[in-house]
Amino acid sequence: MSFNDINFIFLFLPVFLLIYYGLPSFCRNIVLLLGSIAFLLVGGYKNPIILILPIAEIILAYLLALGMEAKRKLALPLLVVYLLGAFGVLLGFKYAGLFTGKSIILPGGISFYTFQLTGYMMDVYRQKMPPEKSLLNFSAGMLMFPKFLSGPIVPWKSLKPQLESRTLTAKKFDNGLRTFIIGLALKTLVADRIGGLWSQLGAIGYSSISTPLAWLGIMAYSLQLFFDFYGYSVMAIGIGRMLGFELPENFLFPYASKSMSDFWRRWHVTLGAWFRDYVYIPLGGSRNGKKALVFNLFVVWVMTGVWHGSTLNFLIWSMFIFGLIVAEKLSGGRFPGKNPVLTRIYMIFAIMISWMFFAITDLKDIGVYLGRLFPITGKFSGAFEGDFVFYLKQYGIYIAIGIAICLPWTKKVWLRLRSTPIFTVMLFILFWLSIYCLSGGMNDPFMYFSF
Amino acid sequence: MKKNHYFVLLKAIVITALVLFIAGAICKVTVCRKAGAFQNDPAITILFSMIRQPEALKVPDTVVSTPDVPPINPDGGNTDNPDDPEDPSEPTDPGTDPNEPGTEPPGNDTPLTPHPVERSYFDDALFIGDSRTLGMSQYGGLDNATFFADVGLTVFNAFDVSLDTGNYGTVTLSQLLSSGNFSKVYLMLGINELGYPFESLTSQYLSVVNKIRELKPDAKIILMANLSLTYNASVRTSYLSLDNINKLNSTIASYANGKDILYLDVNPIFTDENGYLKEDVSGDGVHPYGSEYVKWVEWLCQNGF
Repeated sequence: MSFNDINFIFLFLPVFLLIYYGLPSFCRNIVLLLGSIAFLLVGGYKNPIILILPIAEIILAYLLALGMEAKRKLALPLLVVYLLGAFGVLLGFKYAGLFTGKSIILPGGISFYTFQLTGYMMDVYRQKMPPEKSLLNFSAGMLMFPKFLSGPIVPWKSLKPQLESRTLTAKKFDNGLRTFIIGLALKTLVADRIGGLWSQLGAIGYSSISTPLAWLGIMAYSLQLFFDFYGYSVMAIGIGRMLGFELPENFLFPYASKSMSDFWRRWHVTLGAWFRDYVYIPLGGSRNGKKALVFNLFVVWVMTGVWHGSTLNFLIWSMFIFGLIVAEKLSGGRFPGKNPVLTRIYMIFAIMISWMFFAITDLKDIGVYLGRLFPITGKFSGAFEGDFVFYLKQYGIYIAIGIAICLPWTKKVWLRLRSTPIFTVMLFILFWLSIYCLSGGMNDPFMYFSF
Repeated sequence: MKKNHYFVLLKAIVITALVLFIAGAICKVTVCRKAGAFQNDPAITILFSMIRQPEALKVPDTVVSTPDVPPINPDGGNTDNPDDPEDPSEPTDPGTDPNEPGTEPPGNDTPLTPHPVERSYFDDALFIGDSRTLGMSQYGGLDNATFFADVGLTVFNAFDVSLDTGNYGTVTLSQLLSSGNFSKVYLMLGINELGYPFESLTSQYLSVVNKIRELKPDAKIILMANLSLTYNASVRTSYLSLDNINKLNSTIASYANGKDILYLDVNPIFTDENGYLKEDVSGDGVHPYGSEYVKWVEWLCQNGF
């Protein structure tokens, strides 16, 4: 079950909130835990591993962390056992499909809770904080449904105080509801509308699209990917707020960045922070000279590529980014420089091309698409005249809206006006518009277009 | 600031949701049940579905059918009007395989069989269809023909929309058929409507055929089998199955009479031995790649009437 689902919005969430708010405050973590278990069961009852696996890992982490504190001598072996187990399972699921030839679906959320739990274990090992004594709080925090499936990845240090004490106020609830609606609208009315273009290009076949359309395609994909993930993250924050939690932002206007290094401090912020805190800095970061810097970045980006997917294109994607970031870091500030126009042009092209590697799994298809972007050579079966204009007419308005609202001015407007009567009306309309679009996708297996 | 202004939005949404739920539930068991529509939808979105697809509420009995058309008999054979030249039902012949290209029911004296034609044959051809036909207009390379096609075109809305047809401008199908010079009209519709009750679909399909015949009495009408889908696409939905598509296509085949209403099935050049679209022919499982449409057009050039 995901957040942009009629059953979640009109059945699960209202019932959960009634119980959560109805029962006395000392019940809230239990309700959160049981509710999250129900959330996973409803969505994944055909595959109970979606619940059994994280519960097993949570209990194991809980016990091993206590063990690390009780017997410091065993701390390292216990940590290694946990890391091997957790990453072994994660990699096993990711690569089992490649070895057995069958397509194996990853249990939902596994990439997120694996990182969540291993981060906790490493913090306890390094004695940055004591292990959590309350199994209830620990499991509620690790399993909580607002962030279980798609993050944000929240360090235990910031989650713990909120699990122990949080207040529910009318203002927070209203704020959370408005935030949730914005996230829903971003996903349903922007991401899902723009997303049709990339799907249609896949249906046409990359060898049959013109060069302008190829560029329009990756621009659309870049916007779709952002609003999809950003929308979902905003929904998570909104739900969290309705439950009294402040979850961290995952996106800080990445498409306004001026360098690739800057971009990855703004895109999927909590993942980048995890790699920084648990891989890059422990390896030495930038403190041990240029060669070590390059090596440390290399490790981080190989892991990032693997985290995102098990096919080779994800490694090509992450190595492309690695290359740009190394060039930026070693250039002493000269690349990409400080010119506001040139840096933005650099970033627009770099981002779009990087997402192309991300979006296309088949390496041959990547080659074909590159040939369409840069038509020097490459397979071209012939496009139809006016294909760019044809799709621009269909998707142009959504792409224009997407570009307009992915910039920081929207947040300033939002923060100032979100509780005004006009915005209340606007949110009410956006909500039902989103539901209208969601209900249209229900019977249509190919959500973007009836055919 | 009054405290209760924090609940204004919530209250507005809850009240609207309750109203929609009650109204939707009432519609679901009355209007929608009669038409067999939206029975699997949650009550709260029923009104939205009704707004989006009003044609789904047409009850099969009230669908327009011309007085000459006898009731549809899926087993073939109709004894009411054996001499009616517009009678599209198939004389009983259980041996007809609708998947064989160019097979015509042998009940007529001189059934037309397909044969190779020049490209100029399509100068006065009109293709009516959904996104696959649109794809053919864009990638097939048959620029001399006229196309009336759009994503999401169905038998329910084919006569309600205006589309850009190139040479004939942006017109409705009625205007196009009345004013255009076409000696052959190709029709490929049906797969978009497989979620509707089958009888509603086929009865509406028939009325579309009849209306085309009415507006173009002298043209050949060539009914085309709906394209199959890949195995992977078929596992994704319940109603979009090979069985349903085959059932639809054989019903459409039964409307051909071998004389002026004909049937063509292009599937054999794209499907495997089980009837599924080959995986390397389609990116999304239901549309051929752009580069495949040329083969489709070449096949049409081998199968003119």
